[in-house]
Amino acid sequence: MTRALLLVLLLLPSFALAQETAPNKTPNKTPNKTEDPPPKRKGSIKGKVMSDDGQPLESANINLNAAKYSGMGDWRQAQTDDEGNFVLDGLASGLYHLSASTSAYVEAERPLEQKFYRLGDVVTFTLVKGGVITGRVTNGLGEPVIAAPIRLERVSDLEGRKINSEWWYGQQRKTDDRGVYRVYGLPAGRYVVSVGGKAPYRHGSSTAYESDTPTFYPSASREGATEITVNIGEEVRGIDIRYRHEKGHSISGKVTGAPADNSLLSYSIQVELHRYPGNALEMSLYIQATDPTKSFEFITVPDGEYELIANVYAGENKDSYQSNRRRVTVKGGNVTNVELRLSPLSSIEAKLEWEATPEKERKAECQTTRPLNAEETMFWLVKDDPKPANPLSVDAVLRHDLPTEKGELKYQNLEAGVYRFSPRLLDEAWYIKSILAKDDAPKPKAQNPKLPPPPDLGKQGIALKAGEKRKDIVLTLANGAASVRGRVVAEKDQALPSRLRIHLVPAEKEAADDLLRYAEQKTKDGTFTFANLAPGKYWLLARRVPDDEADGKRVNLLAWDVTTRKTLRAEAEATNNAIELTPCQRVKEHKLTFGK
Amino acid sequence: MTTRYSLLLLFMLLLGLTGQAQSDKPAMGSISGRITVKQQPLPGITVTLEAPAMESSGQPRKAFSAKTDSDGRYRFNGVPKGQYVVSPRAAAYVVPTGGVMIRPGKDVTIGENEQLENIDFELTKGGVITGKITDHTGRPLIQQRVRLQTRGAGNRWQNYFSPNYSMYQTDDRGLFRLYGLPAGQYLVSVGEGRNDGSITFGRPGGYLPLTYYPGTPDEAEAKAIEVTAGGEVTDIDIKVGKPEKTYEARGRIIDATTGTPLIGVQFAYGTVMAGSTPRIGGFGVPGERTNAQGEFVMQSVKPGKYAVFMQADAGSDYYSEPTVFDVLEGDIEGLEVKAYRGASISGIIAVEGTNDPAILQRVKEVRVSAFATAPTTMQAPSFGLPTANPDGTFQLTGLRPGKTRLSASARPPLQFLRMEREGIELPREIELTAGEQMTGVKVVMGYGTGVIRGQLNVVGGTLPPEARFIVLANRVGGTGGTVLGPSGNVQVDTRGKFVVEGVFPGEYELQVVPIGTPGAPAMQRLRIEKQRVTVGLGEVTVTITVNLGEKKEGQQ
Repeated sequence: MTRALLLVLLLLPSFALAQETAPNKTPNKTPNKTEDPPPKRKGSIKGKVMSDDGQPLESANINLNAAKYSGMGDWRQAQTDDEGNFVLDGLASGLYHLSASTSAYVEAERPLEQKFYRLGDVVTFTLVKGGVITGRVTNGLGEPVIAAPIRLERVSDLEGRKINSEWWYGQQRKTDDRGVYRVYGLPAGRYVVSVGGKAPYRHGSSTAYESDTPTFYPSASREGATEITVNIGEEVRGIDIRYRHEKGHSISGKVTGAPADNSLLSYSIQVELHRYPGNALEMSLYIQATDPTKSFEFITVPDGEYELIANVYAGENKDSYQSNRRRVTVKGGNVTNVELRLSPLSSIEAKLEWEATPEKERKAECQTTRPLNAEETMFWLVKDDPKPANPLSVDAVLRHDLPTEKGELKYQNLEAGVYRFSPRLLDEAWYIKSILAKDDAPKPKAQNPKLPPPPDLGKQGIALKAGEKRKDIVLTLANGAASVRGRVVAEKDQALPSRLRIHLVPAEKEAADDLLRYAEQKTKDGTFTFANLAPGKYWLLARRVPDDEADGKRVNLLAWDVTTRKTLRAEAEATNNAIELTPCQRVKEHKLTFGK
Repeated sequence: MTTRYSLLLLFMLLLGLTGQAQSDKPAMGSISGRITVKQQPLPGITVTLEAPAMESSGQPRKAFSAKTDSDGRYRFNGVPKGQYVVSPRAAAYVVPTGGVMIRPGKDVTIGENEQLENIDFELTKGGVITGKITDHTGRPLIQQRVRLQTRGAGNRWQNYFSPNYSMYQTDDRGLFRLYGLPAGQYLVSVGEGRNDGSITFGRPGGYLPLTYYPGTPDEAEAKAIEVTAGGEVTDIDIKVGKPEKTYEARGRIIDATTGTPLIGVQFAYGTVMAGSTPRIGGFGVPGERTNAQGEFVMQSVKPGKYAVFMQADAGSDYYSEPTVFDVLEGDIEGLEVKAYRGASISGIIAVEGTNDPAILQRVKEVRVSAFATAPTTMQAPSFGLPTANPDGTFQLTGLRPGKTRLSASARPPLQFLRMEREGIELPREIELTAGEQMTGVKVVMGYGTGVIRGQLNVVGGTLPPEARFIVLANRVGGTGGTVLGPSGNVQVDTRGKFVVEGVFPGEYELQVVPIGTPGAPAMQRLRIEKQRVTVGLGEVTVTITVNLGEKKEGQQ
């Protein structure tokens, strides 16, 4: 679970998937066939790890995770040689997430589209020297505070934009016998530093400081914390903290609705305390399934606003349980009788159908179209939650899966809500034509001509009730997808904003609410790439990204909101940067003038 | 590390007997004492009072925390009865009972409303060793774990553990700082030896060769570092050789009878320890499962002798024979692990001595286990996976044929009494034939209210300060069983007191077992007579005497 979770967390920031088509793949074989699969093609992914000053990095670790779990070899590691090169070979065809790391370095921030790879890809990672924060912790008498856990939280990027809170080094770093601490390998940004308190997950033994709330630099509660700016590779010294002994309060309650099913034997209920807003995990604890009281208590909780949630992880291919999210405010006293009610999570199963244009009817430019390679195509399911309960939390709303040989997708352990598929696929030849809810039994149309068409979930989204297991979703894929690549340019004598969002809006009136036809993308250098587009007429629209919006945070498309969509359409129509895309058309170097 | 961690987790899952929340009744017990250094008070030190062991399971139980005042005194009030460890949390000091325990401190067992005083500690200032670790090119080795050894029993070098795990790691400059060390001689090393019993586990690019300060792979040539109380030894720098290669080992798991591959099963592997019957030492479960062809791969294996086997899931029909292989210089292909459909035992759990539904419904907490006794071949480690259903039925599957010991365990007030089949008590050990499906086994648990209150007296000498004991109350006769404490073991506290609660009427043999003191020669020679006691519905008291004078004071 941890690994799956980790992967999901890594995937958060954006949808845009890699657009490069890989070299020739195993031809033919549509995923609909049910015969025995041929032995999987084997291949390799290789590449290089460089530092940002262009030097190759030796002995850097490469981590590979298969995007779809299949058993052996899903997780691999490699290390770079003297020239910074690495090779991961003997890989079965599929889609893989790769990351590179080496002590004291951090991966340069980059969009997600460069994080998934297929066989034959050549990858270059750039690692940046991490920053350091060091200082000394003393008590009121000036004596060293020894073996106290240090926690760093990156609260914003260098420009001061808030980010989804990131903890660094929960309890791995402690003060030494002089009270000195040193935390390294930090991405550039602004941090708050705290000492003491309880780590979110306690590894190993407890510390002597768990009965205190954390003291933040310089000697404050979280509200009074002074932020520390760490530039790329910078060592920030003298972050000395005067330790305070503050006890905080407790939050206690019980968990109800625990599964009685003993096939989940030895399961435990995990209760998590997140800070609100921000979703940073402050503390967690476990309740044994055998504990008749199912009660919990978090102690040493500082004043503040929190969200509590309980869950039971049932294991692979089983339905897990999750509780309601319970908002709690601690202010000068204990909070008691918090009830977290567990209920089974929901799931969506979808089936892919294919609508390939027969070869002889294909236009000339479509002739190269290959069948969709399902094992390398990721389907993203997103919770359409314009105002999520916890606005900085994205891990709960973004899921991915790769289809089985039979073209089946499954998304488990979903909260109730409305879900949408992102239209982005890895293979440029295909697009999602429709998403429909269909009964298994086909109803002959001739006998019942007035039968309403199946609900168009491409417009409405997939509504999921608590505990519901939907199995009626059909995604129809069609080939002949178009793409457009280009660049935003400024008008004469104008500067381009540092961050732009490019919107693609269907121009046909009847497509106004077909959300499969909308796309958007953030860009810093003005370049953009839209692929997997249904043929048709579109408007392109470039807008400035609001200054307070952090990179990589948005999950929902702006166009999903009905009001915003109207605004976008109106603006797009007014600026009228229209483009007509025919099947299989590949528009390159399209120029879009900003402000026009 | 990953290995060790997943192992730890596994054990905790299996034991699963975490301390239970103490009763809600207001408790008036108190524990107090004094912390000194050279007989002078040590103020401002945190002292914690925690339930013993199992503390890493993530469940924070009511932990008590106090600080010493200007006179070095601390006090915990409102302590419910139970077993605890009192621990001064002074990482820069040496706690006399430390060195080998996760939590250096003193065991205490407190009764209801008891006032426990004079739980005192005399600390000494710890020593410090600092240095720098560099690789073969002279660059700092970052986040590298340093190994520290101290002299133990028989003057042999043994690992020195500190709960202060993070101090063993080098920082981004390759620097380390080990502190809080008792005065004595130490060895500092980095890297791993061949055939040292450890497995590298998913670590790419090889492993660092074992290098002792000042730069030798040989323990005998390592330089002992003399640390005085409160002293600091600097510049213990080590330059490590080039990483040595690790390899991959591939194979598949098949059904031995049909030859078909087993898909989606977990595998595990461990080092093979030499001996008359070779056995599997440290092992790990990579957490990966075999693919559609039943294949598995072990990555980053360093040279050595290994055994790979199937790690059966709960409810699996299979057991496997470990396949032994040697990794020398190169990858290994074509390993085959043979899995066999095992025997099964099923039945129901019953409780004697009560009709209280609240107690009866706790049968689902009972863990029934079966393990092979006196194995003649090397066997894959197996665990009594939790087996009971809410209705009290249980099923054990995938059992290896041969002599098998049946047992069951549960937290008090339930205790294991015996196993029956068709009204006849089963012997302690049964013989399972291949593929046998034994049904109708009744596991009888007892609900006991008896209490054994004991005192361990030491005559003819004094025990070393690190001496700690547990008490096993073994039921006499029949299939037997051991009465567990709320945290698994019944501890003997620092005053020699112990309490076994929830004892079913009958005769018991009390066995006092020293724990966690491998370094003390006096403890190794210690033999304590077993003592019998008959328990009814109430309380019995017992005194067990340890006569140190009967043993010779042997010196190394």
